[in-house]
Amino acid sequence: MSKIEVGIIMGSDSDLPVMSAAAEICHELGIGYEIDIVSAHRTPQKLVEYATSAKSRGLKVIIAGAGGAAHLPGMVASETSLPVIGVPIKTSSLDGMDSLLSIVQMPGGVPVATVAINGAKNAGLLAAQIIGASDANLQEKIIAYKKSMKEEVNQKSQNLQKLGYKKYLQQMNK
Amino acid sequence: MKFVSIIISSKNDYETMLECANTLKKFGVPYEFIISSAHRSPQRTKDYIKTAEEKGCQVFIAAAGMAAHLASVVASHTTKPVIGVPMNMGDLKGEDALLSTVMMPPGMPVATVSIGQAGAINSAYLAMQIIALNDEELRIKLAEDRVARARKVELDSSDIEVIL
Repeated sequence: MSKIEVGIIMGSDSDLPVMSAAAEICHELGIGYEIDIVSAHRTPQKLVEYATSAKSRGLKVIIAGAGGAAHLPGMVASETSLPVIGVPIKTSSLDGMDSLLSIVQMPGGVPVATVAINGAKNAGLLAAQIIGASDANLQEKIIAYKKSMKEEVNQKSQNLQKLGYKKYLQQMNK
Repeated sequence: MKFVSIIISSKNDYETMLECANTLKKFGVPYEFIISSAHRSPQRTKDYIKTAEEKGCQVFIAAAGMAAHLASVVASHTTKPVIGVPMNMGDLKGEDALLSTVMMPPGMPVATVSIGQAGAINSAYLAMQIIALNDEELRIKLAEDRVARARKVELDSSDIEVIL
């Protein structure tokens, strides 16, 4: 098991189906991660302990997912100097726009690197890019990952040309 | 040399993004600062990213307003972290730029910060937090800055506070 460098936390277990995508990317790229539930409002003490101990425990990046008033990423950022990535979770009432604005609109001096609503996969990839900025081995893996994405699109393009749009749609709906 | 690249999409973004450059300067972090547009100078943008990467750029910061595609274009040409700063301009005052910058498809992240000036400052802080993962001296400077900020709140309060 590689050493744990990415901490993935979420405000509630209801965020886990979304946030698991961040863990998947870490796993795929061979980055050690931990995953936990930490609520800014219901477990404030745990939040402080988690954020203040993060660096000494060897973490390099924290990914925090939260929905609604979504204070978790910003509160974590206020307690650590590690980069914090915020994932706005889609909500039933405002489609995640509430989460997005709460997370992204941080005051000067305390940034949260915000990704798309439900963008946990990109949060994982961004964490990898941050660590990879000074890790040539990981950088190679990210380049290979992006290359496979390019090939996937090219493959779809070829299939569309070959089948025509009607057959392609039928195949998609299967 | 490790440095940060700041790319702005037009001269209109200069004043706001000067806050970013000045923040990096305050902490002694080297940076490059250029104008290049996703739509009006796509080749220049692409060429610059390649050159900057070869020279040792660790983090890209891209600022743009309205249909803000610059950060995503930068992200599509590099695997270094890309920070997007939505500019406060046009009829929607940055809300359009925020959504254009943050709502990236899976596989192509842009680390999005606040709209306008706060975002310009925070893009510099975020870039420095990333560099500080391997630069203990910078990490200490950032920690000291946090202490100074907390002290500033106390000072501001002392000017107006009423305590029984």
